[in-house]
Amino acid sequence: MNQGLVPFILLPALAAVIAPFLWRKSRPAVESLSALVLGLGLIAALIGIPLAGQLGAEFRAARGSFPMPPFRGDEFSTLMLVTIFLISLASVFYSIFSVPGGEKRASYYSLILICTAGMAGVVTTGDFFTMYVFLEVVAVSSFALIAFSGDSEGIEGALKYLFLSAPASFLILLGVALLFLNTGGTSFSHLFQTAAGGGGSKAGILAALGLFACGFMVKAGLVPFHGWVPDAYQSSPAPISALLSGIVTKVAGVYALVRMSMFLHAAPGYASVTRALMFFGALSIVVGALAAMVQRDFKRLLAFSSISQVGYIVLSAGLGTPMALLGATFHLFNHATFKATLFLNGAAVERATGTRDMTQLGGLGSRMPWTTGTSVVAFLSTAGIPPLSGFWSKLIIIVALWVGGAKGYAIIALLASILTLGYFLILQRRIFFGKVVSFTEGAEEVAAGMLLPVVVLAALMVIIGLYFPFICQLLLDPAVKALL
Amino acid sequence: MSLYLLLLVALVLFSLLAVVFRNMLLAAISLGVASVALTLILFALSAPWAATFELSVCAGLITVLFVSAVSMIRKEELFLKEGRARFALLPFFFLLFGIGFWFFGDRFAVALRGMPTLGEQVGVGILLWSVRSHDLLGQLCIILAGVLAIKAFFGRGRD
Repeated sequence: MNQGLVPFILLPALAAVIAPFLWRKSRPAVESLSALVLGLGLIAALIGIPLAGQLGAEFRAARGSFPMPPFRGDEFSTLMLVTIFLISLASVFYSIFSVPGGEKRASYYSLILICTAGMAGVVTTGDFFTMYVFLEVVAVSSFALIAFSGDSEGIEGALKYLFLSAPASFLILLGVALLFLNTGGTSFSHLFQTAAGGGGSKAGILAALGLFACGFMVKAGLVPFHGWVPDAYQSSPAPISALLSGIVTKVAGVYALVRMSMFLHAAPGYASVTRALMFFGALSIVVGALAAMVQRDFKRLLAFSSISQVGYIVLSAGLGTPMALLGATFHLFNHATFKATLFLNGAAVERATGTRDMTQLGGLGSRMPWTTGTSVVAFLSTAGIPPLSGFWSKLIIIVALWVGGAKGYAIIALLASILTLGYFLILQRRIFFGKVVSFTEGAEEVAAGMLLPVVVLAALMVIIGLYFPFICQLLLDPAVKALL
Repeated sequence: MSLYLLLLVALVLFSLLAVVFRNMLLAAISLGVASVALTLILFALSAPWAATFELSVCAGLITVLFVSAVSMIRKEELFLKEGRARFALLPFFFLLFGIGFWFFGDRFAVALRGMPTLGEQVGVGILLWSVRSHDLLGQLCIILAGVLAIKAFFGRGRD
């Protein structure tokens, strides 16, 4: 059992316990503690990348043995940990300067920390039941965070999340039970061994995988299970929208789908599930992009854009070739950075102007130059414009689809990318360019503390795009090799 | 046999209390205790995996979720006074249970005769602390998340 990754869960969980007690004595201390723990986690995960190679080798050696250790780490897990701690840190840092004070903020930071611990648990486990338990940690804390504002909009978003997330959890749990009945265990290795060896009841395993796929698609917010996404993102506090869109849906849904897809490609006779994943991925790309085109509220636009971008990741993971996996993994990381940037900047715009209605905005470029600059970088990266990071991941996905024989899906992905560029150009023009209107006349740039996370994330998009070969060699190739 | 009977009575009693209590917090806790009794029965019947999952999901997760949900209800609805009339029904339910056991008790005892006792099977401790220890870590995190959610909702009044 690899206990080396347990601190990634324990440290945020312990900090979550300490924070409410510390809050009464010193509020800045709680904020510093939260940022420090997440910062340390990020550094540890970054340092852990070379170490993960060794862990990954152990995992691959153990894949054939039985039983599988419930906790393990490979390069893909480590990459996910980097993403989780990066976005959580950005969210906490932004919260320090933006979320109003009061007693509840003690719980607020603790909830973010416990959500981070839950996400770390999901990506470091090798067992479906343990994954389910940690998914519930993420679900309970996310529910509380979405409803945190306490207004009717927040409660509505949280309830929608709960009503779709609870059946998803039930489906996953039912899948775990079926997996246990058919393979004699709940670990990834049981599934891998039984599916690859042709053992167990194929219909039973297929049913379990189908239930997993449905459950994880709800958690990922894929079409047609996306009903909760726009309301949840729209109604939660801005840093929470960034956290949800940036990483929570990736960990709770997309990560498991990518892992599952790998097992399916290794085993003969389960192609129907991967084909279904590709179909729902493509459907999400198109529906998300089309729905984003007609939104007036920019937070809802970003939510539909997230649905579309998650579709790219699932479509690519469903194809399952090494190149497609590279694209999926890279886009997962990229989407976390650019969507977190956009949600945080969206909050800055709302704070400065008091509205989220794009028809009432205009000319903010001169009033909020830093917010505008980082937003433009994130827009262009999402739309796949070179040399930004999003360009590379989309290019890899489209080429992988074409080379992998899914030419129809490649064309859909390409056309949807043009749609993405279209709706982001509309958003950009309406909010940041054009004439200054009454709502934006008195707007001022937000505090430097609120700008720091978005500037760092935007810089990452540029640097990763420019140094793509180096990043690919350091981070992505090992992660993909760990999956195969 | 006496252990099974004791656990069975506890299961029935706390399940009934979960239905009878008007105070939803007490009802949720009763349901959690009933789940613990069922967990022990499953352990005693040599089904440690099922027992572990029952403990994790029903006694842990579901109870926390119920308590979290109850915490969002207004205080005046939460602390309703218990009426005696509802509890007066309890002896009747137990009478029904006793009558059922009178008729089917022998068959129950015969069925249990071949079952192993707690001491004969895979150690519960080994299963919980060695094989599924990380589930327990996850459970603790869920309980913590539930408590923090309650604090977030109740703490609002003190802002």
